[in-house]
Amino acid sequence: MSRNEIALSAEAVSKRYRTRGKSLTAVDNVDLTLRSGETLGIVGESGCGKSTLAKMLVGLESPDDGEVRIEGKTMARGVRRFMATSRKVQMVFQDPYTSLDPRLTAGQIVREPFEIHRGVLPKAQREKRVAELFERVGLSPDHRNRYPAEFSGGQRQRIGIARALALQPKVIVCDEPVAALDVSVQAQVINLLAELQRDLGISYVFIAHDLSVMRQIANRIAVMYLGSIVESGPVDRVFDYPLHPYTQGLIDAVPVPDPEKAADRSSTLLGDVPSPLRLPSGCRFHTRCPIAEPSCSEQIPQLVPHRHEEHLVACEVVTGATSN
Amino acid sequence: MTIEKMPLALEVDRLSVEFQTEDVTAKAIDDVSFSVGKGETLALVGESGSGKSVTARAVMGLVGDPGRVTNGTIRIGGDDVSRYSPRQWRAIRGARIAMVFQDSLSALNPVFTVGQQLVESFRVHKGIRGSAARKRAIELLELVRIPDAEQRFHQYPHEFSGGMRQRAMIAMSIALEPEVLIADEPTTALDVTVQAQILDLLADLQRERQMGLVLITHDLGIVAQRADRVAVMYSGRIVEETVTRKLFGSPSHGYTTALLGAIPRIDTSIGALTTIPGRPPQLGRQGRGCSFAPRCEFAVAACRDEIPEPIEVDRGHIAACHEWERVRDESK
Repeated sequence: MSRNEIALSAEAVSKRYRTRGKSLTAVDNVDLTLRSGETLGIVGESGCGKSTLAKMLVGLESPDDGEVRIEGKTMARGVRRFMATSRKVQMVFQDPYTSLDPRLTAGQIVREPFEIHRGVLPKAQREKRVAELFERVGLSPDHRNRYPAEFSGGQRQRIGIARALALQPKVIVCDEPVAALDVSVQAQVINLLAELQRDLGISYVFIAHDLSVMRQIANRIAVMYLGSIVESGPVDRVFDYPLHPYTQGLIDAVPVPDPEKAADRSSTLLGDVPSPLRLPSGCRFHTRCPIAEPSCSEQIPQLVPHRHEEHLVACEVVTGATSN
Repeated sequence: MTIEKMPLALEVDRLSVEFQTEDVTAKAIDDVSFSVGKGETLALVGESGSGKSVTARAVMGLVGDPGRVTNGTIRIGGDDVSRYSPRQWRAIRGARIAMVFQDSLSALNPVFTVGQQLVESFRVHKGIRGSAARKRAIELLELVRIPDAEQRFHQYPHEFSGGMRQRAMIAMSIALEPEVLIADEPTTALDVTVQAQILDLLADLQRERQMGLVLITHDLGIVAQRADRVAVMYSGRIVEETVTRKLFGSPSHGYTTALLGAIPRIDTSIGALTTIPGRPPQLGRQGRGCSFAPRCEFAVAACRDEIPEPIEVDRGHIAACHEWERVRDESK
């Protein structure tokens, strides 16, 4: 499998919702490419549009503008969209307590994809395959007849992963898959996801607000703020040399679990994320930005490479400073 | 430090809480002891079910049916409050010891404005009413850095953002200038940039007022950056307690070491994370040895047979681990 093949891409996708006559732009003109076998992390705070973007990538929502391509083919529109995409792209959800049907057994949950996509596997082989999937994710196949309530949070997340693996998808979109889990269990699930990627060549879009988790699992990351990507690039580059003031503020805000490394409080970002119903003009971040200039409230900055061909940033102050 | 001469802000000694259901009696916390000095921050760390929130509720006098405090003493500013009646508790709760909850949306009353809720506590505890109470409330909102405090005074909790709501709750908790503040996962529901603001605010208020702060959290990053001392809880017991630097530098309990290995770090990529196999025991089924023994890489036969007593492994460093020397040497 070549790293250069594109597994999934989004081209200038936007999604708007209407509420009480107002229009809310959840995702605004986002470009994204996911290469085969890699993990692309999407980080951002609540309301930044990362979950809406995830839903468009798996076909649960259809973009108002732009398109999503799976292995170069445009995602179908309309009611057939989800049937067509769910063979190739699957999703693991945040909350293992609400994303599994409590009235189905764990075995039935993992078997369900085969009953929807009947042609994939003959009936006679399904039970055996379900047992294999249980083993693959580290669950005992003997527990197939138990109900979700009988499993712990970490085990439930494994059931969700087994279900996502059933149709042998090329891509799995993980929306905050470990956010609801305790640290010790979180590490187990992260390592399982990494192992599955190594063995099966699956590509992940990994959505998380936890930057520490992201650093351990992603190859490349994209940072979102109020519906737009403000910075993207290889994970170590973005963490070690963040360009956008928002990315810097975000990274500095994460407490490091080492008392010898005192936090630099001077860069604490002020204020809250503005409501997406009242987007600031120009650069969306200018209301909280420590380096904003008057022009920032007028122009929407473009995402452009800066100092490295794969490290992109949307900030005129940063990119302008060096070109002058 | 000269804190030994003054009464401590909070002293908890051998506290136990049990929950009684039809078929089982579960010890939610067992023999928990810790103390917090004035102006000091003690972090209480542990995973879900470790007993940190039950400890907080017990210290606030808020254990209700089917739970009950079966043993132990609680001293606030030197006064033993453990045998207080509900009426006595009401008089000191908020006034001498107060709490900030994780979920501010459910902790605030949705049908009263933020201002009304602040004024209420002045009326009940201090007999301050009317415009005097209103003035005090607005000052408090300003103190916790809520912009446009006069307008915010008239708004309902749902009109506040998550971060602003948490500020309002902090304002409420410090309104009566308590000696001890218990913050139970105060930033878990917030985004990281807002989390940093709230933790800065708590630290400033604590310093100004010399409050003892018990910071309950599962986030070891917050512990490392914000706590003077740490108590690690597992399955209802404190398994290790010491100053923050020592806990991170020379952990002396198998669980602490495992926990430190399992945290993803933002400052470096470390490849595969160390995992802790299995999961914590269910309450009431802890068995007779150390509760962590079935998951512990250091466990020996003694660990499964006998609950280790807390011992002082170093000055001001307490660990309840039979194998603490091996744990400490290997984690260096």
